[in-house]
Amino acid sequence: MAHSLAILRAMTNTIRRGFTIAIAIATLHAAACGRSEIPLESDRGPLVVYNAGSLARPMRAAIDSFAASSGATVEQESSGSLEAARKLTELGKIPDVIALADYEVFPQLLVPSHVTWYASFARNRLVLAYTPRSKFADEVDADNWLQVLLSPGVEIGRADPDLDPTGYRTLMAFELAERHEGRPGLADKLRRAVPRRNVRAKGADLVALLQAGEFDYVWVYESVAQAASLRYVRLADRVDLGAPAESTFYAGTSVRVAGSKPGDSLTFRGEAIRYALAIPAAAQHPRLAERFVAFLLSADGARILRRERLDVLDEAVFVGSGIPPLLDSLAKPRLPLDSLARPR
Amino acid sequence: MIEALGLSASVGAFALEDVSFVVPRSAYGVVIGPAGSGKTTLLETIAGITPHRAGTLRLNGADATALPPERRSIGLVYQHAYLFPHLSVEENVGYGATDPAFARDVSARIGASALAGRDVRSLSGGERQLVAIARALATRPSLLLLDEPFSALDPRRRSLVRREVRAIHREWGLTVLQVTHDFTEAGLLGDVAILLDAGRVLQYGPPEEVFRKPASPYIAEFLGAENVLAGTVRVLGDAAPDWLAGEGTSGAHYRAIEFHGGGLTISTVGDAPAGAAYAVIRAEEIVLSLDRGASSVRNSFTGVIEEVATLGALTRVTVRTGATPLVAALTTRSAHELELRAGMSIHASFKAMAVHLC
Amino acid sequence: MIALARAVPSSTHTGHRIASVVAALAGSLLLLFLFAPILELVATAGGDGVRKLATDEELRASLGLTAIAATIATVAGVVAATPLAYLLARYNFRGRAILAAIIDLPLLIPHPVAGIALLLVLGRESAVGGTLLDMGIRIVSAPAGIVCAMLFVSAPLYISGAREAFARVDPRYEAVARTLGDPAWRVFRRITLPLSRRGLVAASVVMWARAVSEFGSIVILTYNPKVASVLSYDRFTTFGLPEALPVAAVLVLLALIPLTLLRALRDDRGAAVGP
Repeated sequence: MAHSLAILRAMTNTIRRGFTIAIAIATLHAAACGRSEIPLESDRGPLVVYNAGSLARPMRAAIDSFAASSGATVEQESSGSLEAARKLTELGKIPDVIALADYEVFPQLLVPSHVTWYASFARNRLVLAYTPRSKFADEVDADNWLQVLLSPGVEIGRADPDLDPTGYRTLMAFELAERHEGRPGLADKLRRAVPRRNVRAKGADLVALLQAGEFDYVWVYESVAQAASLRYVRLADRVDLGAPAESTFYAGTSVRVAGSKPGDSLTFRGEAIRYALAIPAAAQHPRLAERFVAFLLSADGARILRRERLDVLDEAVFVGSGIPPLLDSLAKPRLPLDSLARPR
Repeated sequence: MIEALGLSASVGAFALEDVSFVVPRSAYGVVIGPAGSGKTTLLETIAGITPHRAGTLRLNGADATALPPERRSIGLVYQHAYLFPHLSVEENVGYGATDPAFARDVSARIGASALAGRDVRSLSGGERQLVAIARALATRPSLLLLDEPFSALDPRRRSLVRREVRAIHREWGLTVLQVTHDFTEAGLLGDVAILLDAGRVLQYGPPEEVFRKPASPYIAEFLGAENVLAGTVRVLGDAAPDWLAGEGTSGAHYRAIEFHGGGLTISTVGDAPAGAAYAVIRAEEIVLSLDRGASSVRNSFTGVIEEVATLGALTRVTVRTGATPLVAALTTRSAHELELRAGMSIHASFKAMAVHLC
Repeated sequence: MIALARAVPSSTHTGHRIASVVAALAGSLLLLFLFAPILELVATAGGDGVRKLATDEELRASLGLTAIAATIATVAGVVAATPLAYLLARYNFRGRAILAAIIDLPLLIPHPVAGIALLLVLGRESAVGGTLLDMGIRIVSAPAGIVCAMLFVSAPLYISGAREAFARVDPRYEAVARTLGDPAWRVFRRITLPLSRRGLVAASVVMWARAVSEFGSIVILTYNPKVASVLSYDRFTTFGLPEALPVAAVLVLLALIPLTLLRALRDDRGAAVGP
């Protein structure tokens, strides 16, 4: 009898012990799960970000801040907007976040195969940048820039329309100037003022050559000019593609650029310049990417970007479907994917 | 003619320091020295290939300092021929020749015309040397510089070519400066012998003088003097000894000297001061005889033959007398007549005049 | 009977054999690594590229520009640099090592940086560039700029190779030729050049090939008109891979012609350099 009692007591003890351990495990598990939905590995990245050249500095600042607070590592690759898109479409290199200087690249190349939504988040405008050494540097202003550009001996540079959105935006600006000034043939004159040898691959090249003294004036984005601490001339709102209020005026202009094959062409209608970003469907670290984008679009993120001269929209404009819930709260207004379709 | 005065030059690891000598016009000069002594550098400096950084060089009376090699009328033959590999034998020989017929004649004399049509790369060492010599002579230079030119030739060809070169030297009045490390060749060929060691001229002059009166024991040994004895000089008197006449020499200005060295007391004459010195006796000056008193020479010693070494027509006999062995050289025929062999007792004697003090 | 065979311990034998096998393997892998991408490129897009030659005028113009600019750069480099290479090979002057190091610098500099450096001296605002521009000669943003960039990045390769070639000619040949009556320049023509010809040609080929492949510095100096490297990058960015590959493939195919020719040239009647 005493023997069986002892056995019983031993069994109870064992069961009790096992029970305690089980509860402990359950609690720990619950605690661990409750802390975050993301598994521990992808928390740290590395988060791969492709961005346009003119976003390099603002992005760098934002990345540094995000990395410091989240402990994640971020790898940044700056390149031309089209080149960045080509990395996804041609080389199969998929980043976690892609931010481009021209939102049009998204519907043109990336939707729907790589991206189901994108968000416009910042403005930009075209300006005429110059240096103290440029011809007529002391006289040029918003009123006489046309005369200055059309003076003989002035070297002007612009970007290649087939490669860089800055390029075809510049051509649009020429058309808009012609309409705005009411001077037929002005666009042609402005085009001829930039001979083929002065057409450079991208905006960043133009800045370098301007600083080296090869050009007197270059057509670049305002953000690029500010980042390089260049003097620049602000053009009329109707000309510089920077004012959403003038969208209708802009839409009256179109420019033809190279299409997907040589010989093909694409026609772009005038639109206010907007930077856009997206998280590709096949991103490796989607949750981390969402946190980063949320940060970018938050008040803190906007402050950092603005400090680097990026003209951030008060509210991002999301286009498309499948927007992650985390970003949903930031998404207003939301537009369906084809609202910005354009004729091809 | 070549006049060098205080010539200094350097090429890499080889240097010439303060080199002075004269090779008269149409004379045959021989430069003797061990490997690395700067012999080739000397030739290259005379040719103008290496500029000299100090001193003067006069060729045929004119200062050659500013003269580039192509205007010095020089023929240069290196030890390894240096035939131009991309040219044929004829093209090599005729490279600098202004008169093709003359070039052909010279080529025939030297024996290089037999090699015409052959590919330069297929020639043997000796054949290449022939072509090189012909090439140098074909320009009819007034000065010929030869750097051990015959070493690559087999003995038969060597004597043939040597003869032709000497003949040309005489006929043309060519001044020749030949480098060799074989001093017997030097003795055969030269009017002027120049001893070079470590870039410096140790001694120069007519070969016999250099050979018989080496300026230092080092030179003596270098020149192959087999008997170099260290010892002391004791001057016996101011007047020339009377026995000098018995040796068949008159030397009114010589004093009698006793040299003690190598366990021997040697009588000699000279004007050397008393004190430490070296005595040099050439092997061929030592006469061996089976009995004493056969001649009236002053120095006669008895000893035992240690070794008999026969090399062709010459035999070298090492005789131990006292502390130092003496080496005597005689014709193999004489050696056979005397029936010399090791262990034999023999008398070795040499004239007082055969002893050179330095 | 005593066995007289020279016994090599079998372990050494095996060791040698293993070493040769490893060497052969490593060599084959490297060859594969070098050839596979090029073979793949030509196999995939070679046909396309050749077909494009007939229709794509921009491509033809670009290839022609590349070849001509590279040839001009090479000729200029060979003419100007050969005496310098000879000097470096023959004369041991003070500062020779430093000079040689400076000559090698363009090889080190990242290509875009090289372009910027050239911009500083050849641009509109520089002494040289400004003067030339006043005379009507444009370098930056003109074909002359392409030639300059190519020359800058590829000349050091030629100088190295030429210097090597000259160094391998024993100076005693030249010395003998001098004594035979030839002044220095004639010796160079009759002796040094023929004996160093193979090495010089090889060095020129390397220079030309390097010039043809240059991109980073040309893009900065002269973007338009476009050389083949710039065009293929542009096509890639604008149209994607299917358009870029044929440009690259046809460049490779066309470059094979002069490369093979020149290599064949240097293998004929070569000269042994023994004394």
